[in-house]
Amino acid sequence: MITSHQQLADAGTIPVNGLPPDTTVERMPLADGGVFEVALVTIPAVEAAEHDSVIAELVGRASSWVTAAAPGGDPPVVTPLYGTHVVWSPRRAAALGPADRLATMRAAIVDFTDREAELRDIERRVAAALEHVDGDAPLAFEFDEQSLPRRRELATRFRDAISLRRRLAVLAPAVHRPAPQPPTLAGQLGERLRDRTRVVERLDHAVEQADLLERVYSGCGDRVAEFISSRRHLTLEWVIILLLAAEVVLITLDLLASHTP
Amino acid sequence: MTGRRAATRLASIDLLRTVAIILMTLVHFVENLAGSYDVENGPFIGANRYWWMPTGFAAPLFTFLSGVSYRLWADAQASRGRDTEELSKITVRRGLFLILFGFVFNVLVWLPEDVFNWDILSLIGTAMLALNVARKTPPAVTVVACGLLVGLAPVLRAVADYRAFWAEGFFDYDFTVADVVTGYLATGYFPVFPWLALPLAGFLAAPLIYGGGDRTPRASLTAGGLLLATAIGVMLARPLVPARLITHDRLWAMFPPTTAYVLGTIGGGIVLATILHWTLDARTDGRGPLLRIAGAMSRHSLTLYVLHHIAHVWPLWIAGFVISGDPDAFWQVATPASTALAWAVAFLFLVAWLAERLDRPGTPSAESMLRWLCEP
Repeated sequence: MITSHQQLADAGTIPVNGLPPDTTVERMPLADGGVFEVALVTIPAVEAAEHDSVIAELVGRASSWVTAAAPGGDPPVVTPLYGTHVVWSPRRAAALGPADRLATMRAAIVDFTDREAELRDIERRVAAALEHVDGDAPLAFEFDEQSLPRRRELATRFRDAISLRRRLAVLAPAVHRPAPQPPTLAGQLGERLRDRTRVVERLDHAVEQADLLERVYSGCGDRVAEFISSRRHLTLEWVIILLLAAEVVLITLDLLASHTP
Repeated sequence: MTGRRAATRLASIDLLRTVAIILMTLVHFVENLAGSYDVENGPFIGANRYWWMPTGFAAPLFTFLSGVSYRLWADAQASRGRDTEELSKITVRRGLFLILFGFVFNVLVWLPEDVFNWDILSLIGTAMLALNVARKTPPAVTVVACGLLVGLAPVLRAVADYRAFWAEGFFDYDFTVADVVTGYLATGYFPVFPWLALPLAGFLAAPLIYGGGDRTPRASLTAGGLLLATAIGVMLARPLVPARLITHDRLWAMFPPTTAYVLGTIGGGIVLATILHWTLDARTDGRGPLLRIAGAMSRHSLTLYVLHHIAHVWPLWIAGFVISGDPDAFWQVATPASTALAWAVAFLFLVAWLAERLDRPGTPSAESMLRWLCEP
């Protein structure tokens, strides 16, 4: 989750690739340890005839700057709304609009990015965890002596699955929260970005995948507990058998010794 | 084939087993050919010579390493996905083969009257059957079994009247069920009580010694140290032991194996194996000439065990029978100890040369027979 953010006093410290000099760039830490940068670009007042071309040029430059954060990645999401434009990617975004709307746009972008970054981090962890499922699934059915050294590893994966499930449970209400009525710029911007990035569908998929992880590792936990319990009983039974066998040996030798001529 | 084997084998185990073979050869050649030679001037070797004591480590080291090797082999097979049932079949077949091989060996080497002397091959065969059970039971059960084997051994010897079975340092039994069973359990050369504890201890210790990767092997050193300390404690506590349970005048003896001897040799085996593994295995690929020979000798330890007996016992029997009509005529009085020692060294050089040649495909050996009979 975004915990704090910092406005850069000197915008020149971040290359802005030809964006207007009054552009402000802010930088925020993300849940996955990365950094999110948002550029606030004021659309200059121009003649009506030039307006569209100026906007198109600014959006193009903003797209280049946003894309530069992750070359080769997905193209950025471009959202026009009520005379403003947002160019968004997971690592960078640019808010283009009148100066008096930039603060609202920034807040909406940060709010959305906060949730999207959390979801993206969960998706990454779920995908990594799913890679182990095929190998671990048999242990949810049957656990044996050879698997015993993997007990801690399975316990860690179960804890991770529960942790992912908890994070999804916290994230879901925030994602499904309805936009404020009557519609506001921030609310509508959040809705648009949510739709364009398919956050709701991705959340549903992540929940299903985390459920699968939880089921598999919960099953593993049950099998481990059953195995440990039966192993304790088995040990006790074997010790009793050994003691009885020792007694039989003792009696046998005593009998043999007493009958030796 | 040898290169691939060297890459998968642990040089430290090969080296330890080779040390056991060398000690075994020395002790048997010198004691069997010269043990009573010129005793008027005091025996050259024997239990009253402390510098001869290391030879008493040969059999414990051999049996301890059989448990270690079995554990490493079974774990490797299991990790390759080999079926548990198949592993059990191979193990039981190996055990039965070694017991039968032991009987044949006794008849051919020690002559038919000693068929039930319960030599080390019978013990290792029995150990294979026991290890197959240990593989499937929790380690705590094996620990308890070891405790019972070591702890009950003096009691069983007292009950069976151990000294009555031994005359002039040799196991002397009658062909009765009572004597044969008692010999197997408590009074033979290598009875189940307490000798079976050594391979079982090796089985338990193997993961502690070889399972830690590059980490300092604290657990195995602690276990070995504790056993050595317990052995010393047992020796110090000797005055408290009831006289009936004491079957040997010495605190540290092999026949019968005193409790201190069993605990000390297990502890020493663990410490030795740990130190060698820690210092040797990480730093060598086992391809140096010395380690290559040690690897070959270790791989053919069963063949060398048989050969070293045939090499020095058969000439004794034949010479005794031909010269005086009594096969035992030259037993322990054939040569001075120095000559016997020279024969032992010459034999070791010969088998060092021979061992690598036994690796050649199609060369008959006890190991190739064991594999042919016991492995699918």
